[in-house]
Amino acid sequence: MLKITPLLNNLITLSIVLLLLGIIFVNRVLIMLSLTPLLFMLLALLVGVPREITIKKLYPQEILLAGDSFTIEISIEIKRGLGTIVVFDLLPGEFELREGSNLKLLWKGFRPLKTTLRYRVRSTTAGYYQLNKPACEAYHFLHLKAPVNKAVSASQKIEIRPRVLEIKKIRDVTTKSKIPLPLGAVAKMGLPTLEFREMRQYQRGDPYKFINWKATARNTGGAYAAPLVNEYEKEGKKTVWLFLDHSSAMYFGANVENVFESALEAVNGFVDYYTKYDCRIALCTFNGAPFFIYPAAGKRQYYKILQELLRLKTRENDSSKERGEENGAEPEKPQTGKRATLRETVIRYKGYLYGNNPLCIVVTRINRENTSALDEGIRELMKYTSIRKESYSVMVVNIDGYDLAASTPSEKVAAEILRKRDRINTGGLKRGITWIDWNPTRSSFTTTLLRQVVRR
Amino acid sequence: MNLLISLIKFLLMLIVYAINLHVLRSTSPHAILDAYLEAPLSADLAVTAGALLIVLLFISNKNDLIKAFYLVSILFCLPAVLSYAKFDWFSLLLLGRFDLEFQTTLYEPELAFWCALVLIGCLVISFINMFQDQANDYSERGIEAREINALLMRQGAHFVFLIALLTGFATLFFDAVEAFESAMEEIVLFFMDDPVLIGFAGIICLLILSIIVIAGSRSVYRQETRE
Repeated sequence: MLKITPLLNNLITLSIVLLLLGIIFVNRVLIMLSLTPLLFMLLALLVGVPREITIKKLYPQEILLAGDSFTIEISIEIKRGLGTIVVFDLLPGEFELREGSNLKLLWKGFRPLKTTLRYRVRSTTAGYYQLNKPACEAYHFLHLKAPVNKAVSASQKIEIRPRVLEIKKIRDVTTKSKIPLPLGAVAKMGLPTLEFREMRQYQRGDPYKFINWKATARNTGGAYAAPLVNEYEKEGKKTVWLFLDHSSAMYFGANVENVFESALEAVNGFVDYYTKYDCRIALCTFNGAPFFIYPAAGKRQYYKILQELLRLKTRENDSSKERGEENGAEPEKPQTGKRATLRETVIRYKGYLYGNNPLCIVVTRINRENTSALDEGIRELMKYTSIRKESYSVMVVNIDGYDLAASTPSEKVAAEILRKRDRINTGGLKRGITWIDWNPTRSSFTTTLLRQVVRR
Repeated sequence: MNLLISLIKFLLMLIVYAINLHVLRSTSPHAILDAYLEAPLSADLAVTAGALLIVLLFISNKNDLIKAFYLVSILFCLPAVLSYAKFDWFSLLLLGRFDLEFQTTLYEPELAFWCALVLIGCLVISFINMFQDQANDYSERGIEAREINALLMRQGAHFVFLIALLTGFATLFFDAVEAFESAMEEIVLFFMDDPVLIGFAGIICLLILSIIVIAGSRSVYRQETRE
């Protein structure tokens, strides 16, 4: 049955009123006039709403990296009817439209219409997303018939992974990196494996069989240049502990780009990097919903951590207990009231830290409020790590997020002032540890790490 | 594009107003008013007031105020239309207190044609308003102005075609109504022999239209409730 729209209802009412008045006043003019809207309706209703609509969506690949752009294509075919069609494809809030539009207005004339809606999207933040189904609304050309809604039945789940480091090794003969590798008594003294680690200058006690004669011959260091030796990874697993700040301060920035997203990228980069070195990696959070993954090595551990990183985005809403059980990680009782600081977290897991001599990496965002708490945490971490070259095996990655929220020149000036203030506040913190300041808006994490490489 | 549509609407309003005035001037109330206010002051006053109203509507560009224009159209056309009424309800209800008899110098088909033009004009204006609202809605939803303009052009072309068809049909119908009158007279006379038949046919027509309206209103109500 024909659904009557408000507009059609008005036209019918007008026609009836004129007819009734014509009958009441016995007036031929009014009766004849009542035919005008009636005729208009009849002519307009002869044409139908756009129908026989086919929508097909070409989905991107299921796994992408944060920051990647991909194209979505929607092909639309309308065979019958006359009118307006609005095609829309709603995107998750974390996606950024780069090119084109996910909303298209079409006019279906008397001929069949076939068109394609194409747009480019950038996945800004890591996580699991359900891509919505594209839909369309078809309207009668004069809105005299009820609109028709049509949606595609299939949808796709997409996984956006944080970016990994674009380099495998950041060491060279002529350079050295300030980024430490984890120490470990067993690993240091153990038998060398076949996995090449780096090339370095000969030191007293090195076995002659490790001298790289070809490289030594090519070395332009002068006549008395020391021979170069190949260094191989030692047997045994070294341990890396990642401490991820999960406080509300980490969500500084916009929905599509914030500090926590950069932190996830940094953590994922480290996990990927140290997994390749066959290190045992542990992950725990502080200043937020507590979460802990036991130290383990291998690709399986990498994917376990990656999955958890993607789920961490839901933070307070998800119960950490449930998440832990699902993935074989240690479930933690959700805390009420004050959240565990870095120091409290380190004390809680000190049993795992003892004797391993691990490399501890803290990923955080320094501000005036958390400086002292972080200082206490770092001092606590130093107790469980060893000193090498006057530096503890503690690395802090400070993500500077002020630029994420600054767009106008005055805001940028304010961001610079706040940055300077934080730099002054954190001056004492940097002593005895490796400190990396990362501004995600200015450089990639790989570039930031490469800045730590200096001449020997 | 929006300015162009507003301009077209303004021109249409002027045309409809001119027709309204033409119809009003042919009636006896206008002549009485003219005589009462000492002509030609009343006619000038009506033109000025009407033009001011249109300018006000154009400047304000508020679609709700367009109802005032429709009201003016009804008021201007009503005396002429009522002059052809076979049953004088006003004299009956007012018991002849005012000795006012509606008369017009226009012939019946001519009057019907002008009134049909006014009706079509009002329809066009209301649809232009709807198109403007629709364009604003699309604009708010983030659709590019280029796409909206292209749509308005195509939609407008189809609408103009439909209106041209309707106007042409109305012109033919009201021009040929006298020619058909004699042919129709026999049919009418057949019905007039038994007035119950015409009443019965009228009731059936009204019943069908009422069912359509009630069913439509219920479906609209259900749709709104679901939303």
